[in-house]
Formats: sequence, structure tokens, C-alpha cells
Amino acid sequence: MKIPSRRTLTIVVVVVLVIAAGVASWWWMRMPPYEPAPPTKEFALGTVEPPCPDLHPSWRPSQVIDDVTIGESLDCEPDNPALVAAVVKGTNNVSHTTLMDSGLAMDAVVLENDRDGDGDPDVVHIKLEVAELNGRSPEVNFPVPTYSIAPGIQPGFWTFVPKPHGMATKDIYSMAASPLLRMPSPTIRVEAGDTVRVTLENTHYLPHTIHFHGVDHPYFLDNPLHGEHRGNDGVPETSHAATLPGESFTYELTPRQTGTMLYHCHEQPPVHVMMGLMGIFVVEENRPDNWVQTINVGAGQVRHPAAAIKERYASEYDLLYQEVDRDLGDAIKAANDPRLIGKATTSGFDITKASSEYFLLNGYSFPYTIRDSLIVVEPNQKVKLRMANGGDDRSIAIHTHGHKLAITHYDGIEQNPSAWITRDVFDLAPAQRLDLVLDTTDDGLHSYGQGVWMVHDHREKALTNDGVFPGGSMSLIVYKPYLRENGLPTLHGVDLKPFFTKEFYQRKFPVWASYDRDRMLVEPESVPPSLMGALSLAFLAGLALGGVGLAGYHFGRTRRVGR
Amino acid sequence: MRRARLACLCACLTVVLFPACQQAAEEEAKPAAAAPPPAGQPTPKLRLPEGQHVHHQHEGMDMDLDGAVMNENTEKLPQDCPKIAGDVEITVKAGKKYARQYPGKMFSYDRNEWEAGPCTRVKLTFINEDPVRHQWMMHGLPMYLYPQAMFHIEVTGPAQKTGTFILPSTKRTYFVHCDIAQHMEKGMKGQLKVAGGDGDLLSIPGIVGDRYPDRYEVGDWGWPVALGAGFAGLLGAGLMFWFGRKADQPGPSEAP
Ligand SMILES: [Cu+2]
Repeated sequence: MKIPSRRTLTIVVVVVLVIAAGVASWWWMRMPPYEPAPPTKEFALGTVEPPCPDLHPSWRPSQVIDDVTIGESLDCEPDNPALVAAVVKGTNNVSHTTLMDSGLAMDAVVLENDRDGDGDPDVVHIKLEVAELNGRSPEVNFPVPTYSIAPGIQPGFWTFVPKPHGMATKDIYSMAASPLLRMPSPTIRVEAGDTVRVTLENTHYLPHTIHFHGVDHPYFLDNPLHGEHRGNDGVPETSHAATLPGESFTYELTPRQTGTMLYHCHEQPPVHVMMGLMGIFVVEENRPDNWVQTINVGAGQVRHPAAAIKERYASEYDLLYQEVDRDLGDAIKAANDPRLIGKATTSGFDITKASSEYFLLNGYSFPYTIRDSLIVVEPNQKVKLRMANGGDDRSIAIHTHGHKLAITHYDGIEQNPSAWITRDVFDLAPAQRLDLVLDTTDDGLHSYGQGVWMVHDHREKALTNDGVFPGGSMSLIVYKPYLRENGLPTLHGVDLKPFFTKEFYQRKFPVWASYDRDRMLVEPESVPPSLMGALSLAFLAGLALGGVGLAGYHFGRTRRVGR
Repeated sequence: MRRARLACLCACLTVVLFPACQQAAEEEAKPAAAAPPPAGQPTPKLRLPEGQHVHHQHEGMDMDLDGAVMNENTEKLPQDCPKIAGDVEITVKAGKKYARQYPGKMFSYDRNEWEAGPCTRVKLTFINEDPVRHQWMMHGLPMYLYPQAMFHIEVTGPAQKTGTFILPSTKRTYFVHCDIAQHMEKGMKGQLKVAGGDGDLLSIPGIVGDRYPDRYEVGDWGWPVALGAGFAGLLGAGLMFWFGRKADQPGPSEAP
């Protein structure tokens, strides 16, 4: 066979290229025929959790237990009134039934000794344990005990817990954490001038301390419970070594000043504070017959406000905002050996490269926030909010819809009323506290009238659960006529059902699928692969491959002939 | 063995298999209706009690500042026991120090396995050596004698408590643990065997391993490992070579 010359080959290649260019430009310039776009996908909702399980309707009304008056709490998940009674009267003073119903140990909150004879106890002894939520088990491959901040979302946490009795789970049939074991660490509330002993009973497998942030406490204790001279500041590097697993340590303080403060673990704070070991600490004014609610589990509404608060306000709420680094929390799910977890949460963790995926208000993210963190109001009321930032970002920016609130205290210090600032975005640096007065007078300034008004962090990422809106630390100011019997607000917007499925937060259910009636915005179906396209692509590839082969053959041949 | 494992996981399986059970438990957990505030009367005034009452005794629960014994049973016979076969005393010590012998654990008991005969009456003394709470909680007892099928001692700090229970006649391994968050996972787990038991449970320190064990860093290869691996490689290569040569040799039928 005669081998085509190099010139002939070049001509063939050029002609083929010109024809291809012609076909391509015709294809580009022609009027495209109409082909319908793929139809809309069909979606089914996953299992929808009941928005309000409504387990304890009898807990909502105002009631008296063991002579303790417990205020009304209309949330879906009101605080357990027996627990409130036990921490107001003291676990050493309440009846057996109340103590059993509270879930607390008999020595959890010991109240005694009315030193000034004003009708309330002045020596307070609180015992706190450290509990791990959503930890690892060598026997099963799901987190134990389970604590969900939103449907299907269970980050790892460490939290302070008022000393319980009995099991860490709800009952023997469930792996869900008992109601005392939750985020955030509980609010501690005492009267100014009380002698307060806080014992850290370290039930956890890593060292911890308690540092009282902003609360008046002596740096050294010269005559403490154990009769020795030792540090009392909770900072391992300056004050005293951290409390090792299975050991205990008692702090003692007699706070002289009132205000909204904090307490938190100071061992490895970049990890331990972010894991959840932080709570609000409130010092109330000393008044006669002032039995304060020593512990507020899960923060939120105070069902037995102190005397001075009751005088001035219709109700009181503790609001602790926190953020969660999922990867840090995963460290306790990756291993069971405390040495491995200890390494992963010290030298194995770099907070400068950390990011937050979840944003909590009082231990929950939306939609669970509407179960126990609503601010329920009536017109012409004054409501006290104690707001704290437990997060690590530069600041949070809490915005109240429909209301402008006055800042009465910064970091627990009362401002002269002439210096009160009224605004609708509250920026709080990490660890900062604001006391706010929510005035529901409908004057177009303090309130725009009754309704269901959102309260949310205006850093828009804090409106999401790992980037999925709606989520995060948002809550609601709800006027009573808008509150249903089960504690959920009457809402006039979209169906909330999708938000009560874990599939929604796994990005499996399109955002508008539940109410886009005409299905014009829901995701399209995928397109079937085109046979013609695949064949022509393969044919072209074959041509190219053949061309290369031919050129190579030709090159070799001419060289051999030339020799 | 398999049955024993199932028993150990009963807590989590039951929630899947018998949601009705769970509901019943929740019903039970609801407190008695609280008294409404007396209408038109001043709210009651709180007073510190004169004398401290420091002991509660109530429906299967005996509690004081040192801790609690739940579902104590000194007399009631299990249906399958004609009489008490005998009395045994078991002392269990609990604390961080007992985990020292098990690397990677943090809390444990002085022993993690106990034996008892069928229908024996066990007097169990639980000594807590740590200044934090620990428990000895035993599951799987007959429900008609022990509410929630368990016998439980909790000691709130360095102290001790004693309680008694009567075992049924069945040959069985009972699941014992401390139900404080992460205490069982970090070593506070044991098993009580009646008549030799019907197998072992998972994750008993010193006795049974983990279903989901930890993974540890693998160290550098020492010279014995390297030498051994090299030798194994040479052996494999030699074998292949030998087989190849055998296959190359002409069979008898095609002899030249
Ligand atoms: Cu324990």
C-alpha cells in the first residue's frame, strides 16, 4: 500500500477541521428546538417529630409545693416545679416526694443558717458534677447519653450539673439524657452577703475547675471548709491545680455586690468553655424573706424570682447564648480511652483554626428553642432579661423584632437611669452580660403592639444549623393571646413540620417544598444521559486516537525509508 | 454469649421494640397533681425547719445524705424459689484507684465479676472510696419483686451502704454498672453470675473486650519485624519461581 505523503495528510486534516468548524458554527447559530426542562422532583418528608411532645401539662400553672410558690410557665417544656421547689427551699429541707421528683441528690443544694435573722437562709452549699453528653461507648455506636439540640443534631458536650440522684438517662428504657443533664450549665442564683460554698465533684474523666467570673470572691481562702490556706480562683496556672477525675474541691465566696455574672471551667478554657462548662451566676439583692431560686436548670424563665425582681418586674429570664464547634465535640466520640480524648482536646486541638457550626440559646437551637425559650408577655409589663454571651466569636448581635429594650446593667453594674441606652441590637463581646428591661407598652418605641416577634442574633450564620436556615439561637417574644395551650405560639407563616425532621437539616428536603403549592421552585429531577451525545463523544475520541496512531506510524515509516 | 449481650443492650433495644413500655414508664413518672395556690389566701411563708430530718424512707427507696438503697428485698421469695437457699455477703469497693490496673479506664470496682447460687439472699455492702457519687446498679431481676427490674445502691461520696436482695433460681448473668454519665464506659461495669451464669457481657474490664475498641498509634517497625517481613517476601518469591519452573517442564506425552 502506498503511504500518503505528508502533504496529502496535511490537506486531509485541514479539510476535516474546516468542515468541523462549519458544523459547529451552524449548530451555534441555528434556532434551537424547544425541549422541556426536566420536571420537578417529588419529595417526601421524613419522620416528623411532634413540635411539642407536651409531656407535662400539669407543670405549667402557678402552684405551691412544700410552701414554695412557683410561677406560671406557659412554655411547651416548662421547668419541673418540684425541681424549682427543691432548689428554693433546699434539697435538705423539702419533702421526700419533692426531692424524688426533682431528680436531685439530698446534698445537691443545702440551705441553712439564717444568720441575719431576716427569714431566709444565708449559708448555701451547692454541689456540681460534670456530665458528658453524646459521648462514646465501647458497646454501641451511637452517642450516650443522647442530647439533641435540634432534630438529629447531637454534638458532644461537657456540662455542670446540680448533683443528681439515680440514672443519667430518662429511665431504664431510654438512652436520652435525664432532664438535669443538659446544656447550658445551670444558672446559679444567690443573695448578696450569703456565704456560698460550691463543691465541684468531678465525676468526669478529665480535670476541671470553677472560676467565678465577675463574682466577688477571695483569691485565697484562709479558713476554708478543710482548714487550710489555698487558692480559690479556679485558675490552675495561678490559684490551685485542677480537680482530677474522681476528686472534689470546694470554693467559698461571700459576694458583696449584686449583678449578672458568670462561672466557668478554667482548665484548658479554649476547649472546656467551648465544650459547655459555662453558666450564668446571679447575685440578687439581700432582702427579708428572700428565698432565691438557687439553680435554674437550662436557664430560661425564673419561676421563683427574688424579692427585688418581683417588686419591679412581671417576670425574669436568663438567656445564655453559646456556639458549638462540631469538630471539637467529635473528639469525645472518636475514642473511649481518656488518654486519647485528653490528647485530642489539648495538643490535638487548635482553636485558632476552629469554626462554629451550631448556635445555642439556653442549650437548644431552633426549632427546639421554641419549646423552652419563648419570652411570654402581656401588654404594659416590664420583663427582666439577663443576657450573656458564652461564645467565642468577636461579638453577638441580638436583635428584637417589634421592641426596643433599655440596657440597665453592663456586666452586672447598674447604670444611672439617665444613662440607660434604648436600642434594638445588643452587641455582647465574649463573656459579656447585659441586663435589659423589655417594656411591652405599645407606644411605637418600646413595643409596636401584640404579636409573635422574633428575637435573633443578626450575625446571619447564627440563624442556621450548620448553614441550614432556619436554625440557630433564634427565639420569640410571644404575647399571650398568640400562645396555644400546649405552649407553642400560633404562627401565621409557613408550615413548621419540615423543621421538625432530621432530613431537613441533612439538606435532604428542599426549603420551599412544603408550601410552594405549584411546585415551581422545588429542585428539578436529574436528566437521563443522552445516547447520541455519548456516541458522538466516543466517536470523536476514537477519531482523535486513530489520528495520533496514524501520525506515529507515518513518522516511523518515513524515518525508516529515509535511512 | 449472644443472649447475654442482648441482655446488656436491653435498655436501648427495649425502646425500639416496646415503645408502649416507655410510655407506661413516662405515665408512671408523672408527679401527683400539685396543689393549686390557695385562692384569696396569702402565699405560704417559707421557714427554715427547726430540726433537720435527714432520712427518707419511701416506696422501695431508703435514702439519706450518704446515698440510697433502692428495691431492697429481704423476705419476698421469687416464684421459682421454694425457700431461701442460703445467705451470702458480698462487699464491693468502688473508686478511681481500682481502674489503675486497666490502662485507658478511669473508674472501676475492686472486682468486676461476682458469683452467687440460685435462690440465695445477697447482702451487698457497697463502699465508695471516692469523694464523688458511684453506683452499683443491677438489672434483670423479676419485675414483680423489683420495680424497673433492678436493685440499686448509690453512695454520694466516701461512705458505704448495705442492701439485700433475693436472687431467682435461673442460671443467668446479671448486668451491673454505675449509671453516672461515662462511668460504665470508662470501666465501672461488672457481671453477677448465678449458677455459673449464661455467658459474658461486653466490655467487662479484665474479662471481656469491646465491640468498638479504640485504635492506637502503630509504632515504628523494629528489626525483627523488618527482617521477618523480608524473609516472608523472599519465601513467597521463591515459591512462585519454583512453580513457574515446574509448569515450564514438558509433560511426559510431549517428550521430544
Ligand atoms: Cu461511678
